[in-house]
Parts: sequence; C-alpha cells; structure tokens
Amino acid sequence: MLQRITLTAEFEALPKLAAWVEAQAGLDSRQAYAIQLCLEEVAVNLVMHGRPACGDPVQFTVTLETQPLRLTVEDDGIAFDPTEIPASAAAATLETASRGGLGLKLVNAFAKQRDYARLAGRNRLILRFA
Amino acid sequence: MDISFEQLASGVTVISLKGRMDVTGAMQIDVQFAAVAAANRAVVVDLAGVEFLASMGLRTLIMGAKSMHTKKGRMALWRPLPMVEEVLVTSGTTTLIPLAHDMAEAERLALG
Repeated sequence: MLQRITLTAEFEALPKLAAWVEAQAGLDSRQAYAIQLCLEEVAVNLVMHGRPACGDPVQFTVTLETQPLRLTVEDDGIAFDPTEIPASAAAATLETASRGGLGLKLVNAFAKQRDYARLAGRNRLILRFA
Repeated sequence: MDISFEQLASGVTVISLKGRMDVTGAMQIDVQFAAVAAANRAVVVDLAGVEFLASMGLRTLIMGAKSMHTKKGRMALWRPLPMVEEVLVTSGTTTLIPLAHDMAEAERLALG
C-alpha cells in the first residue's frame, strides 16, 4: 500500500493530516499512534520554522508505505535536518523546564530509524517504524 | 477538545480533559487550562478522556505545572491511556509532573 497527500504547511493543515492518518487501513493502534505523533511533530516544525523569510508558503508531501512501515515527508522549506539536532536532555525540574524541544525527542523515540537528505532544494525525511 | 473542572472537598481541583491533545486541541484549551492551574494550589489532571497527546499538549501541561510551582502549588496527572502514558514517560514529563493511576494517590500527590 502507498498513500500520498500534499498540503500547505499552515496550522489549518494539521487536522487534515490527522484525519488522513486515521483513515489509513492496516495499521494497528500503536503504529497509528506513532505515525500520527511523528507526523504532527514534523508538520508543526514546518509550520512554525519551515518558511523562508521572504518566501512562499511551504508545500509538503507525505507518503505512507506499509510492509515495511515507512513515512516519507518532503518539503520545499528551508534546509533543516532534524536528525542532526541532538535530543535535548529532559529538564530535571519545573524551574528549568522550557517551552520547546520535546517534539523531536518524541520523533526519535517513536520512529525506529530516521534518515534525512536535501535533494534538489527539498528536504526529505524518511521515518521507519517497527 | 473539551475541558471541565470540579472542586473536591479535599481542596483538590480536578481538571478533566477530553479529546485529541494535538496542536489544534492544545490551542483550544490552553488559555483556560493555564488560568485554572494558576488559580489553584492542588490540581489533578484527569487524562482518561485524552486519546492522543503530542508535544504541544505536553507544553500545556508543563507550563501549567510550572506556573503552579512558582506559587507553591502542585499538579498531578491521573489515569492516562497506555500510549498517552508512553508519551508522558518518554518525553520526561513524568519526572516533572507526577503520575498516578488511582485517585487517592493523585490527590495525595497534588496536596503534597
């Protein structure tokens, strides 16, 4: 099975993306959760940080393949390799807890393998799941 | 997503959340959650109705607990579903906000 959706990276796209994953057949509940989680985190990053300073809204394409389970996200936003960002250490206390940094940590935990490439001016992130 | 509140005789305020705590859901309840957390000394967050939790939802919980902490208040998380609990544990959130599965324990944690 191969399913594909292309969306503009804006907050309004996020419920559409969640509904798209919900509608995919053949995923067990744990796989569906992991995919929704990783996709939400990657898409939120794109919405918040992906747009070039004076560029058009970012378009992104999500491809979901099963057997083996694999999610590919391609976008024309600014170059960003999420696999290069070290997972920040968890805050030890509420005093030191900050607003961000948890999204990529969750992607690292829920996708068993992550590969990034910058190809022809586009980011391509491939996430593999157990 | 939905948010509701209940004040218990013990002095604990229970905040019940229901729905998907993704970026869209978190934005719907964020202001109300922050206001109720900031106005109370002991809060138990009932997560039984939360079917999905992502980092924006974690941020809502952590920022609420942080603002309570500055006023010597305490928050406890109560009865998340298994995948939601995995997100809470994996992200390190449960080291910041304690988690309980039974109400007596959640109340005890919130009252400190």
